[in-house]
Amino acid sequence: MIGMGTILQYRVAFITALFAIFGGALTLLLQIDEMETYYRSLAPLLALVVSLFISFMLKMKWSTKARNFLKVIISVLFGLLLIAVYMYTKFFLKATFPFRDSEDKVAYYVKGDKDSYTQVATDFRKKNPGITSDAEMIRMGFEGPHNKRYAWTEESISNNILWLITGYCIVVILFVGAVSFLSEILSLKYPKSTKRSSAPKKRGKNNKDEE
Amino acid sequence: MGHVIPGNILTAILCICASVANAQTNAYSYVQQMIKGEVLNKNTRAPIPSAEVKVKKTDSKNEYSVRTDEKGIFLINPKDLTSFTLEVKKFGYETYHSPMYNLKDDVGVNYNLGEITLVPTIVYPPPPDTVKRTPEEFLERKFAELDMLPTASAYTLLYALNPELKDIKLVEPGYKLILPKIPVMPPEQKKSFSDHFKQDSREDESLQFVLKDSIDYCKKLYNDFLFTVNINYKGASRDTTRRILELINKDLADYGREVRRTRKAKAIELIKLINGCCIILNRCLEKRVITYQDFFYLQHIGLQLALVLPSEISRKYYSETGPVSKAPSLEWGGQGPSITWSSYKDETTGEDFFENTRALRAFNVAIYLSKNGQVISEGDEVLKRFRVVCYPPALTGVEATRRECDSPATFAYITLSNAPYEFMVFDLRTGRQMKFVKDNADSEVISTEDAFREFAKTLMGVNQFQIPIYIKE
Repeated sequence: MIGMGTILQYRVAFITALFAIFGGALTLLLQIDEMETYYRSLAPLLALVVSLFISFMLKMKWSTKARNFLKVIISVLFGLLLIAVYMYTKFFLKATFPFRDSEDKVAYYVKGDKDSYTQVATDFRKKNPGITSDAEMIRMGFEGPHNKRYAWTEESISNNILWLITGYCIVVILFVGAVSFLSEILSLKYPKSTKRSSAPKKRGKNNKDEE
Repeated sequence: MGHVIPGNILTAILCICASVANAQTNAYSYVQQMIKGEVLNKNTRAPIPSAEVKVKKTDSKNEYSVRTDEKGIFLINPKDLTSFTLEVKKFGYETYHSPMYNLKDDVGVNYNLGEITLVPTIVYPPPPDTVKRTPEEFLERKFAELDMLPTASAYTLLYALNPELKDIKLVEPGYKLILPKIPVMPPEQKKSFSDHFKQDSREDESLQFVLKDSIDYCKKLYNDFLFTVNINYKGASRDTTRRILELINKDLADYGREVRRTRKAKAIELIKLINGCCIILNRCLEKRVITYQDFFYLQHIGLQLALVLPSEISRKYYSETGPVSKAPSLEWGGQGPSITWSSYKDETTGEDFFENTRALRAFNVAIYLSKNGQVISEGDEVLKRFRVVCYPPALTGVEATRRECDSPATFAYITLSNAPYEFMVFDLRTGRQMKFVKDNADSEVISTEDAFREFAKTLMGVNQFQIPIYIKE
């Protein structure tokens, strides 16, 4: 069985794998086919880069002060992560519309902003005041999401896609950052320093001396 | 000279006569002493032959069985009987348990137990509709029967054919509705079918034999199935299964006759159906289990056979039950919820088998032209004359989203998603846009939603739904 020590020793690989799963899970959760490739590929990639970077930056002699400073950073990162998740969810709901297909499965599609309706969509909504949601408009007037480019301008849709990717990256970076810092601190319990100089056998014993 | 009968011969004849007379008297008195009863179907009052009547003596554990004859009559020897009960069994009927009979008090001097009625458990086709309905409800049911989308055109068309419907508040169940004549195929399509059939008989003669073999094989399997009394019915109720198999067998028999008569028609398509049926039945026999999935397949095949042949019994059974559920009266496992086609929609297991495409459905567009108070659906007035175009309602001006029927005019095919579409009809002769009868409009919005409650494909191929378009000159 893999122990905590081993996990922390290979923390970068572990975090990358963890975020590959995270990307896949998020795709399943959000059911947004258009963004699936981005979500799946960006999460492990960002996780690898960010955790490597953090690991590289923290190669130094440890002191209590430095460790406390890291604790503050982690707290801030978690705080920011919560805010980012909230903001991202809010933006996600604003920039997408749910569409129920003939299998009764709901999938989300990126739409444009309200002020970027095409003339066709504006006319259709005027003719059909009973239609209140974008999903209904797309179903009743445009056959399905594949014709959404006739309802919103391409630019507006692309803009929202860009923001969705950016937002997703921010969430992942904050999340990876927090997890990476946390793993670095936790790993301090075992090695003398993050510099690989001593044999693993001596790690536990020397912890106290360093502090 | 007279004929002299030798004394010994005369004696012999007399002896024989006497013994025959004696035997008759004995037989008569023996019959007189038997206890008689009659077993009838409670619903139809028809006699039930070969029912097992078990006589259980109450004063001892002895019991024995007799069977009813062709007239449903059974006889019990009253010898050693003082008090007893009867248990009457017949496959397809609920078992009857009699009260206790006392030979002296209950059976009476005539030794006649009277009628015993058994309640059938087999699900028969639902009784004819006896409910009066509003014209809209009445027509809605008709549309479902005809696989016709209930569009505005469809309603207008049926009202045009049956003008008195407008004045009727509640339609009697037996009301004879004049139905639209399904448009005939254009000559090209007829030729295409004819070519297929010719090819079928020329090149695939062996297919006909395979087909016949399949039918025979299927019938054999069916019989094996019925007589496999120890089969473990897992899930499906025994009677329902039997009922389905009976339908299939009957249809197969009908079909066998049909094939022998026509030889060429639809052989390729039907062979798939028969083979599918054979595979399922064989699997059931092998496993000695009928699973939910197989039950579903058999039911679906039953429906397809009913549509193809069509046999009266199964067509009634499968189609008299409304727009959503084609066969809701079928029981499932006796205790579970009844299975309807709407719930099959959630079953994904059947999809691979029938290669269903969920995103699209096939439709044929039938044009009905109203001219001088008449509805025309065939002939030069309609055939090859019109071009039907449809598009998403908001995208009238967007060429790229337009769909056009693959051949001009009536009976053309089109594949659509689950969404509303706006239809327009153009006269190819004059180039002008035709007016719809409903509201004198240039176009009509038709939703395809109803078709998505049914399967896109069946073993027979693509499932098609009719879109009636009612235009005027």
